[in-house]
Amino acid sequence: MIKRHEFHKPNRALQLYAAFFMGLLYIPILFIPLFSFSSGLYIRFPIEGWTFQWYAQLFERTAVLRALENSVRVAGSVAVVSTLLGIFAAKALVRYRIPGKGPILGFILLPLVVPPIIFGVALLLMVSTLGIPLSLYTIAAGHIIICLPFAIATLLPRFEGYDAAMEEAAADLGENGWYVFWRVTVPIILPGIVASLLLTFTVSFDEFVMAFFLGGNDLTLPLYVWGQLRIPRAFPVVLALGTLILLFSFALVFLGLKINKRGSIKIMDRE
Amino acid sequence: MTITHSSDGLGTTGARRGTSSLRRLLARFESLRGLALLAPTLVILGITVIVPFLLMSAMSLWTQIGFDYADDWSVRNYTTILSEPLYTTLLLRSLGMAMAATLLTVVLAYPMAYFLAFHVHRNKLVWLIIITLPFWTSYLLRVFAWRVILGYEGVINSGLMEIGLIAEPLNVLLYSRTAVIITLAHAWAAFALLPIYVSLEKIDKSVLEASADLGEGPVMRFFRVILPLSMPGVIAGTFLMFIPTVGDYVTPALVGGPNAQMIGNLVQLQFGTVNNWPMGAALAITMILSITLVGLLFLGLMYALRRWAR
Amino acid sequence: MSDETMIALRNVGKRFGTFRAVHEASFNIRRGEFFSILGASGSGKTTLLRILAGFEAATEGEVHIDGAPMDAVPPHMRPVNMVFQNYAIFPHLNVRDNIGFGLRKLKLDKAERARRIDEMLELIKLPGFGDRQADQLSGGQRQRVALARALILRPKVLLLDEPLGALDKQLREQMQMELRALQRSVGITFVLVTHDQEEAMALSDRVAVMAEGRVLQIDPPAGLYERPVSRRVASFVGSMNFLTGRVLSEDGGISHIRIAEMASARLPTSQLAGAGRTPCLAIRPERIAIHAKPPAGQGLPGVLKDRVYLGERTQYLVETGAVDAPLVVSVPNTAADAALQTSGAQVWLSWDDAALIPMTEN
Repeated sequence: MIKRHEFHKPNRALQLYAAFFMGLLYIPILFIPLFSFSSGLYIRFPIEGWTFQWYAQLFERTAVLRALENSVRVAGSVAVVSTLLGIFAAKALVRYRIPGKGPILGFILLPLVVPPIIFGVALLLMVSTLGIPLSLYTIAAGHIIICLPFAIATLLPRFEGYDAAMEEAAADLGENGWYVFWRVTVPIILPGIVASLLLTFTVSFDEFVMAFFLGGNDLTLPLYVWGQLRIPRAFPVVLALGTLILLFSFALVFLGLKINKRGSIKIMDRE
Repeated sequence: MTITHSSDGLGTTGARRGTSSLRRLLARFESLRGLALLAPTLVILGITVIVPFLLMSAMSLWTQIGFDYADDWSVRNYTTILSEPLYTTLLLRSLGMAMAATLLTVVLAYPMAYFLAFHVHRNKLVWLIIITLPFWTSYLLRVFAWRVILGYEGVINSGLMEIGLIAEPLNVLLYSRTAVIITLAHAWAAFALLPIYVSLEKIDKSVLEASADLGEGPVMRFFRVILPLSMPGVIAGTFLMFIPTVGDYVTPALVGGPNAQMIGNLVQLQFGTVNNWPMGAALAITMILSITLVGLLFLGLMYALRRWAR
Repeated sequence: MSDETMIALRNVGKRFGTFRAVHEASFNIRRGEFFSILGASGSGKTTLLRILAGFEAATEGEVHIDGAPMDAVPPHMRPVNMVFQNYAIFPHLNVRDNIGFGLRKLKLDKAERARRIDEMLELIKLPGFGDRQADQLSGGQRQRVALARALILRPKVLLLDEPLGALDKQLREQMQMELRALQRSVGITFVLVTHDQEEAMALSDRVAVMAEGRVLQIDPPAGLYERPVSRRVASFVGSMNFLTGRVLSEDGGISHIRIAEMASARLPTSQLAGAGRTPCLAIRPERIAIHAKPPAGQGLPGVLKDRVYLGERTQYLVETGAVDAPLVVSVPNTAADAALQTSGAQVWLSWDDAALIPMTEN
């Protein structure tokens, strides 16, 4: 239903501003795909010609493919773990009377705000004190800290959004806790689960700071990109890679947010 | 009968299948069942956040000597940080640059949030998704995009030369504090915008009608009703953006020159080439403390302003 | 415990922290009975129902269902099923799968499962609705599906939590009749929780009235209406006038009572047990007669304050010296009484002594 408020008739100036703002937001990012098709070695106007050669080169580099594989493995496991933890935690926070609920939630959501470098170096300190070698596993551990708030913030509104009587009804009809969970809880919160998986996957897939501090010899894609940034001659290939990463990430996040409807927007409302 | 309804759901059933004493205990104490569900998350966060943080606090009291640590506890690192101009300058600069970027973003984001809250009636969700989309995706690449734009031979310089406005590339664009501030503002825009949007969206439209009814024009309506009511969102947005940007080091590393390095870069150096981990730990903790301090000052200022405004 | 008893409660109590939601509830519900628990919100009625279903554990006392103690029996093992307040229709399942939800454990073959679901669809008069999604159902249809979903398991007891509360008035009256007929035909013990006294009266064999966690009175609807034991019950069920009397004398089992120095009444002393020397006497508005001229016997004089036309009856408010609040008098509109139409008119009230109900409890 569209209700035009009396005070808020279309305002030309604001519309122009909105267009300007969206331009500010997107145009800088769009230079990455734009120049990824430029045949020149340097990023500058005028664009001399158009080419796909950087993309072709990309797939010849085994380092890229290996980094891609590493990233997918890390992001995949981080997404599954943080979503699983998120389901339990969100259920606990919504359905049970727990003392200190507010502070607990605040603590879980803290990594949304605190600079990741803090968590990165702190975790690095512990890991090296314990003599644990840096690897994809340590990266994943760091990513779970960052992804958990997103998972929980995505799933909390799902649990808040339906009546606890649904689960009671299933129990009343003879199902024990396990079956209640699979036959009622999971189907009802499924959009939240899918959204959480997509969003946490993307966040981990694109995460750089934690990976920088906690990574060993195995590179993830952002680490690979970082390494290439020191070599200006490698820029065109980085642009091609960056375009693909952005495209992929945008698609996943768009899908995730769309599936979750308004839930994800609430994330920011919880601070 | 709200008391009974808000209580428990599946928990009662789930945990009370048998008659073992543990199950009885769990059935009796609802909060225990909740905590059991929370436990994995809390344990993991304990191991990956709390323990490392305590360790870092401890290590900040050590001192690096060559490749070894001095075995006494001291606040030497902190006194060094406070007495060496290099550290204090960097710290103050980080706070200042983060503040500038935050201010820029909040000012730019407010009208957009206002537009979204009051002037977008269809496909609001799609608008919100499109605005937040960049925020979710590769930070590194978004910063890199600005390097492409601001570089010596980048989009702006070559573009301006192409249309003949300048003959020589401008040197000031990349590797400057302005570059860092612009890039930070761009990268964190969604983080500052969403809380503002939410607080505007929450404003009851009848309050606006009431103020019009009481004879206020659109401008005064904004300043006397909308702006005060959206202040919680503005404050939240300010914090959400200021705190993480103080500690950023990717942006200064990529688009800031030697004069635009921030405290995060220094921390990273201590753990990298300088290899003075206790100092790095002390710097990280100093960073948190100074963010907290500035945050409290900001809140105090807001509080004073509100009292003054009455 | 006799075979007649389906549910037995013994000193059942429930505390939430220091708050006592249910206080020493002790009563039996008979096999095949339609039993209602009537109370305002916060009276503890829903908590009591949830204790029967197993969603809340009683902090004191015992619950037996069909002779078996329910103390350690979780909801999914209890021989009861419930119709939830907002029906709790599973949003991800269609009508058939909602109704058949509880059949999984019975491990029926496909045909038998389908047959049972069809049977239920028939029973709730929704044949052909099986493939509808939950969100395509009206309020009344959801209510029927919730009923079918619970009844398909043939429980010993069906619990209903304000099952008609979400429906509009017309539909509610229709569903009341259907619910009553349904209970008769399936013969299952129904326990219904409601705040609507008309609903409780219309449906139930017996009604328990609850307030502030306590069961005040349990009686068949007529008993509850005709013989409420306390002012609280009396005012909860229908409208009621209260008069204060004073026992003057007792003679041969009959007490002579003076009411507000203006009227008198004779009541069997046995009825006054517990009511004290200055009993509170209640009388229904429709049991008071109103006269424009002094009646033949004794009449309580008063002044007509207001007159409200209610269709099938007219309600008069009469100020008397007998009580602080004006008395309410209800007269069926069999013939219009022109003499009583002006407010401020002098009127006289009379009643049959048998219509006076002494309040024996607080």
